[in-house]
Amino acid sequence: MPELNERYYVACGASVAGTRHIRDQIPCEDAWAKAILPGALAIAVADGLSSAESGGKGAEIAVNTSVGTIADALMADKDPDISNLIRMAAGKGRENIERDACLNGVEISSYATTLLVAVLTNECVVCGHIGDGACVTLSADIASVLSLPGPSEYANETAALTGKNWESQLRISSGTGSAVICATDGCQGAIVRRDEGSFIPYNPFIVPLVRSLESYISEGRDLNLEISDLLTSSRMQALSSDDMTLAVGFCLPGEPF
Amino acid sequence: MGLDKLEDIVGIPYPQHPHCATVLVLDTSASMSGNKIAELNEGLRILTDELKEDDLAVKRIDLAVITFGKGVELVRPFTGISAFDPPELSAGGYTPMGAAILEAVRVVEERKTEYRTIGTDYYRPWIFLITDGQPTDMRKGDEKWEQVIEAVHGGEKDHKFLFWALGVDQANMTLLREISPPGRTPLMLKEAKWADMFLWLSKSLSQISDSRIGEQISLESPVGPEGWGVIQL
Repeated sequence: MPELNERYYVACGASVAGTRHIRDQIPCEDAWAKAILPGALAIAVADGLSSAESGGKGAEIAVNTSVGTIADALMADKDPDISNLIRMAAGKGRENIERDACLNGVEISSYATTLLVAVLTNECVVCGHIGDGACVTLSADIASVLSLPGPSEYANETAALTGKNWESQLRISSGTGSAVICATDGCQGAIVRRDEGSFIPYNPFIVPLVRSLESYISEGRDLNLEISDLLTSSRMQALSSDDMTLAVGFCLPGEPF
Repeated sequence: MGLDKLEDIVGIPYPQHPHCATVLVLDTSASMSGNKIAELNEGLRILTDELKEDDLAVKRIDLAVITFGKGVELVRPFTGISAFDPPELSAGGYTPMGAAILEAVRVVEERKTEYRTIGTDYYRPWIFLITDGQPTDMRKGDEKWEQVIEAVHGGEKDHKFLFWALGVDQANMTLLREISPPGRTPLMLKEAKWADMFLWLSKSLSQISDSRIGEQISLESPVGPEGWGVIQL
């Protein structure tokens, strides 16, 4: 029997091309990454902007660098200030993007991407967010909004990690929960909904999603594949013509299967 | 195993589409009589039919029509494309273009307030002016002229909307150029190209309604041997 307070962490997700990218034969420019650590997990999702020539590459560098930076720091220091850690991770992500852009002789704006990073620990959930997309947490069966799309008047405008003002655009929020769900713009409409002008979490999607993923583990199912299948379903693709990324992290009592 | 797919388990909400408010500001003064008003009416039908064929445009474009001739009239308030009924316009009266432009700016701001109130995301609205003459309700330098210039140039500068001006036949292109925002040269419709112009408008609105975050839309150029418009310098 596991110790009463023993928990383990699971993270899963998928990025799939939106209908517009499929139609125009453009590869998916979203990306996601995860790191499972002792007593914590980190996940990141990013949406490379279509207007940027290498937006997809920017998204990939952003998620891999930010999650890698958080993992290294958490392995070295078990009790860091997570908000500061996320700021540093986003900054490292931007640095690596800039380096890649420089190597290729192009402006960093060619790699324009959003970034949403979340860290789930035994005590809290902390999210760092630039641009659109959304992040919600789940505690028991109660979902809460942790981070929403950044302010912009028009639907086709967003802030980017690659912007000069990225530090002022980085929004850090924290909460509690045993699960965290992150989505890029393409599928944020599945986890948060507008209701009389305000965003609210969409429980009919969030609760069964997390509970099903938890139960799939004991069946030995590939959670990434399950999420990928969900995102490519016709009803999800009807939400938006954008690329879609959904990443879920949660902790369970006991030891890993 | 495999039967309980996530797609069948989770509740997937109906999409909440961002909207794009578009106002057509149309000259229906007496000089538009005859073929021009007939072609304008046919163009409105073409625009409506084309947009109705586009699934996303149907969900996202809200179209309004303001005419100026026998006064300024909002003949169609903002209406979703599926319910949009193109008006049958008739020509008559003077050319109160200034008041019509100010009315377009007003209804666009009002619509954006409505979107915000109900929590609908939206794209930057479009104002599309078509005229064959010159304003009779303002003269260059008078109070209304300054008001219109401030509304159009300031509105574009503040990203409140996109303003396009199109001249037909004897339109005063010099004045249209001054009314148009800096960098947005008004276009002159080539003879017998009304249908092409409305097809371009339809395609452009479809592109806007399918645009994604941060994207700069490259609209098909209306100018050129195959295009419907020319730039008069």
